Amino acid sequence: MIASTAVVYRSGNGLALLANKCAARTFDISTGMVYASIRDQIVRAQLLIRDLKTSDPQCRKILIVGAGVAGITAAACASQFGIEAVVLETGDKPFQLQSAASNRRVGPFMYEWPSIVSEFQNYPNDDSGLCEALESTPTWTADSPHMASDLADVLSRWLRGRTFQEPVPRFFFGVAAEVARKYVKEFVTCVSKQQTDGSKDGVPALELPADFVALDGQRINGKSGTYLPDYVVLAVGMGTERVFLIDNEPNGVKGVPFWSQDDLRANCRMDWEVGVFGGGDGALQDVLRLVTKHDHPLTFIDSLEKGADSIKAKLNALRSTLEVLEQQSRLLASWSSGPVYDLIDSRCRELCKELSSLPRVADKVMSQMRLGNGIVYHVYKEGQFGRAYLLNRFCVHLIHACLQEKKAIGGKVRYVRLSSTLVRSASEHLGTFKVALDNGQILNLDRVVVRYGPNRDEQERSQLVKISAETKADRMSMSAIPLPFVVAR
Amino acid sequence: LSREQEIIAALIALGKAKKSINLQSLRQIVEKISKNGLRENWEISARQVLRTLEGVGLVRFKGYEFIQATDNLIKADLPEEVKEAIATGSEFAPQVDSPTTSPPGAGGGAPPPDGGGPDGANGGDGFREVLGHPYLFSLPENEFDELLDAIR
Repeated sequence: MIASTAVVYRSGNGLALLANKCAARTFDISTGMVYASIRDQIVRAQLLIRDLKTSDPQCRKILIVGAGVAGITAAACASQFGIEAVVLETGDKPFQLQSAASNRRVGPFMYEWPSIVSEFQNYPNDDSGLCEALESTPTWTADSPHMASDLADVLSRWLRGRTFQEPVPRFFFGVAAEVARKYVKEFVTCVSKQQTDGSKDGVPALELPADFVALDGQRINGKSGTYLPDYVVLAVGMGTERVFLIDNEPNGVKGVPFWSQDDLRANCRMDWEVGVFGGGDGALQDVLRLVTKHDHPLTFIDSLEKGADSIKAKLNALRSTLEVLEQQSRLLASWSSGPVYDLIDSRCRELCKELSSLPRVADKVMSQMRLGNGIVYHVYKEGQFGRAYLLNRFCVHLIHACLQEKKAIGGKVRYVRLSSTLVRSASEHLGTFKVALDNGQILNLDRVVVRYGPNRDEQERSQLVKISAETKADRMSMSAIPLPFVVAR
Repeated sequence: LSREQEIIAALIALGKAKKSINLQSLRQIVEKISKNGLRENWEISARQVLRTLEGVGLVRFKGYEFIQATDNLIKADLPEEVKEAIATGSEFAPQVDSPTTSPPGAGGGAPPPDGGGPDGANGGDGFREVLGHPYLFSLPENEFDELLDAIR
């Protein structure tokens, strides 16, 4: 780690521009990203604006669509770099997505586990010695991972309390989606035409909304003028979340979206039969929320180490091995296509199996299981643990290994894996779900949790090498390149 | 001296002394000559001034960090328009008011004085051209339309 208080001149190298470009003078910083934590969204937005300022110093105005973490950060960063920003948002307030989830916890460095950095709960965390962050970085402090809705409140207060330097960004909330859609389409069409045909037609200016909600929540009605951006930044979310149990049955059984309020942890006990479908981070997190006493995987790990020096020593001994495996997987993913995480996953399972054979570890893990007669059926395709972060996969593998070791755990929630099978059909009757699997098994469930993630078509689609309309498009992914923890000044 | 003039004075001083110029060495000199102390966002002002001077060929960037002041600058031979632009805090560069008059990649902006240099670091035309390109690193039209549909 680098401890530095000296000012160092850091400029962009343009990678963020190429990695996020989606159309002529237009960037998409949200959709189909491999790294999509709240911290990643902050960093991605800052890198983009910094690189834009470096690579095109003539950029003076940008239009940002979306006022979530990425959009707001981009606006704050633009102001710091002397770029005027207008933000259009269809919702009535910033950080709307997280504000709806008061039962899902998030931490700034949680996915860096087993690195020691994962223990930091403040962002950007001056004490970490990582570096001095850009002045425009959203900041928060906490002792433990925040509830998502609390974090949205904290970030809103940060935004409202911020004194922006000129040019001050302008925020337009409650704007009709069609206004943004129509303008961006016109902008890209016109800019592209200039490039391909040498068209002299001017890019149209955006007619700023007359009727909108301001940052302070006041509804404004009055002429706002026009705005002609040099670039457009789309920050409209990760993409369409697949919440239907069967993809091609959009009227069938569906689960609650990831950032919506659910009742999985409404009671201390868990006596339902629940199906969790999918093998990504969302699915693994919900498995953990259902089967353990903990809202967050980090507190689960803490509980294993607490008051058990031998377990702590054992886990500490594993940390460096796990850290290297995780690093290798992430770096390999930057330079490869197709699955690369199977290597770390199989090693992770082996290590968990070894740990579970220690009676002390298995007992401690069982003591952290939730009380109740419920069963969590985890349905996923083998190898589908895909890009799940090590923290989530380690916790779930360890629980699974310990359950196999202990056999009987009376009065505690059970976790049953149904891998290598698919959902054949599903129906709902009076709040109960009947799910038939390809292996012939029928599940009668009280709850279904569908965590298939964003639409497959929207994954890693923002990088396309294509010289002309006729050239065959070659896709490559720059979205798998790891991001720094903090953007240094 | 204005803040911008302080930065130019520091550049000239370092150039005359044949010292290595980067933001840190500039800052050290400015700290000595500034009566009002440095603003929190001093680096941003410094970068703006350097871009202005680069635009008219009075400084060159060497790599990411090092700056070379040309002889003309060292002789303090600043064109009036540069002084004026710096005094008002605006960047001096051939004006590109809007994409209407000169889209990126269509010749807008001053070429680097030495005709090259790393684009990403120095704002070369290469990057602007790629960013404005309708196909390169762009989604096919139908996929872009789907992306816009996600605005809800």
